[in-house]
Amino acid sequence: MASPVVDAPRWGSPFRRAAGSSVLFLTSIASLDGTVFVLAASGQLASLTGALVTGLTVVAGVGSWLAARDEFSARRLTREDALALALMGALVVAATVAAALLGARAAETLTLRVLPRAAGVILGLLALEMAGLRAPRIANVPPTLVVLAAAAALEGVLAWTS
Amino acid sequence: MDVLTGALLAAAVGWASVLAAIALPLDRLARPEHLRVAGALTLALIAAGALGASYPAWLPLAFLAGGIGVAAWTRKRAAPE
Repeated sequence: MASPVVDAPRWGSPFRRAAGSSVLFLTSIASLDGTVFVLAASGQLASLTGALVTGLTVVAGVGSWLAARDEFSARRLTREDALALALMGALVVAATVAAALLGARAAETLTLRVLPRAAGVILGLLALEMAGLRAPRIANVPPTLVVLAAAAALEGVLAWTS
Repeated sequence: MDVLTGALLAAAVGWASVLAAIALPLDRLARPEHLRVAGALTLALIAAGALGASYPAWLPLAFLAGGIGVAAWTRKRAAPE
């Protein structure tokens, strides 16, 4: 005899939903690739306008808005969707705050000369990607990470020699 | 404003905009490719600022809002009667 299907709550599914979401990837990538770190180090997050601009263009933005519509707006939101969105929101806030605090601490302890300019290059690369142009990659590493690593190394050399 | 508050504000505003995008018919109001261009141009403006260009701090937000407005306007014009 076939067993009845029980629609029991599955507590793991919002986590799986969040982990596989492109919205989570798009809204947390700026914290992971060093963009938020560099913006905080260059003082962008110390003003109300700077924080709003960062939130609407770097943390989120057109790419994540469209991805969110694709993933969540086709049908009525379920409880699982709501839990996944809450979880993703908490992760994005935590990642952004952690990256910003690290950047601010770096700016306090070092005289940054290269990293604030690297922020401009990183944002320019993100603008290219958003416009649909693929920035060149070295060994499949995202170009923003390459720029960040090169700028951090140069900053270290300058701090060591001066 | 300290960096912690700024980071919390940026993350909260960013996530709130994602939730708003789910609720609003954004892709029906404007073509996605036009929205992407508006976002890319705004990021390019912020990049120019980080590289030394000088402009009022509110300009990127106005640029983004203007870009979304233009994208919605072109969609409306192109829509069949």
